[in-house]
Amino acid sequence: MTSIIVSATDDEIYETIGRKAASVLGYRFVGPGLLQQVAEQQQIPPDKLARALDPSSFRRLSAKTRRLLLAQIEMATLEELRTDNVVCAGLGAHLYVGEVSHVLMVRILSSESARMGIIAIEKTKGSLRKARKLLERQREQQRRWSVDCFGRDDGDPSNYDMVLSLGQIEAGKVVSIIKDMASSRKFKPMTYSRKCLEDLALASRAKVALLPRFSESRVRADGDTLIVRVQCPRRHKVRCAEEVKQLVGGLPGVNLVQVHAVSQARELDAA
Amino acid sequence: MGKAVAELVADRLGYECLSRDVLLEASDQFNIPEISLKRAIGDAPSILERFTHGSRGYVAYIQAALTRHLCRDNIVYHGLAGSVLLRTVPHVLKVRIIADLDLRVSIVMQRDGLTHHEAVGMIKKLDRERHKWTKSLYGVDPADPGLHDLMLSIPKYEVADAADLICRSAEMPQFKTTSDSKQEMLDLALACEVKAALLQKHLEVSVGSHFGNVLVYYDGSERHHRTLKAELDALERSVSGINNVEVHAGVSPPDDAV
Repeated sequence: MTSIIVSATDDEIYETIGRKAASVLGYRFVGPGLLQQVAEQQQIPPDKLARALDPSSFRRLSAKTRRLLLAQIEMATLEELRTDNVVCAGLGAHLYVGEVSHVLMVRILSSESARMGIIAIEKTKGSLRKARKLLERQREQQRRWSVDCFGRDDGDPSNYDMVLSLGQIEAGKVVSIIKDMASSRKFKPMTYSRKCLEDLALASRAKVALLPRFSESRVRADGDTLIVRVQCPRRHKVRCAEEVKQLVGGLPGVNLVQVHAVSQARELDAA
Repeated sequence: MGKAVAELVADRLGYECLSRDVLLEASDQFNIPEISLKRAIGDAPSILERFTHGSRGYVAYIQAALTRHLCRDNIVYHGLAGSVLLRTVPHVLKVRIIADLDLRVSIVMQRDGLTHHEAVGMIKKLDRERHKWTKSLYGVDPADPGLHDLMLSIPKYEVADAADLICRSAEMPQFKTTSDSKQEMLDLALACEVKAALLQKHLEVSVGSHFGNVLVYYDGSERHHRTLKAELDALERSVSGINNVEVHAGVSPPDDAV
């Protein structure tokens, strides 16, 4: 059975559509409620976790803290997605679950005029011109957040399997389209797609273990092998590599750790 | 990819499938070579064309031909700019098909016999041109999700699956033609026809229409006004469907004007 990730331009929309889709399909809904669970497990204030996901306030957190908080959210979300039959919304999952073919990624666009009308009533004392500006600013904040935190543009339609606009299509119809698509054989789990999800989950666990000590690091998993790139001074390469192996070598499911210690930040993302 | 999906959708719904026919018709009606029209919607306007009405005029001719077809209903149009040209018509289901770069590269390599590097360069250039084209003529990005009701990523769907979803969406009540939306379509077609006719006479204007009452907006110069008046009098007699013509000088056109 497949899993579904719902992303939307409006917070209320992804939750409403996500919950409806979950109830129609008989799936479990995983939404912002997961943050409370992560906060309890990791002993972090829940509002701090919510701030890492909030495009308007994420810059108030240091890059190091933000990375760690997002990695903790990512780890918890991927754990939920491993169980299948899940509708996930509001946890930024569409930005880090890109390569898993059995996960249906849906983006819902709210009606622009309706959204502008709401902003005009609530925030700009009826001025549509100011509401349009505010909406554009919100979009730009959202884009910057997604690019800064995950290296992907949240508004780029090519990141999704399907983009639906609520301007013309009603929410009920959107849910029925999602239901139909989820039952398509294209989104049935296969051995390879399951492996991709397992790899992502393992890499996220390793990231959480590494980030407190190595804030500049990249982790990829391939089966039971972890490939880690860390930034450290050239003279400490050997010591850092040993430290990385100690930190992640004992994680369940890890058999081999390959460490690439680099001295320049730009080398972190090199192939 | 878009063509294959459009043809299958048209076949399943029993609709007419349009693409190049619109260019041919515009070419016949306005006496413009088809290649010029094709370039006008494929290439970004040059610096010179941004000051003259070169591309803008050609686009108006295509828009006039396209809207005339769409007044008949039950049509699948595929081609660049459909969603932009028809963004104000509510009963038109606007769909964008997204093929990933690798898939597009392999298609171009096979079709044109290019190397991988050449195909990537060609696709990127084409995308840049399309982006510049819509940005300079309409101030929007052609990939803007807000212009479409539905966007489908082709690597995940087969052509048949995508066509199936589009057919089901097209049958939703909000995409059925109502008397109001039919009137909107007729008004749009009329406004496009008037605009195209005026552009042929080198008159740069914006045109709106409400129940056959045509509203023409222009910058307000005196010389422009006299020529415009004469042309509109002639048009009122020759174009069917015009009830009345109003000219608004120095007024910025509303959003629904073409």
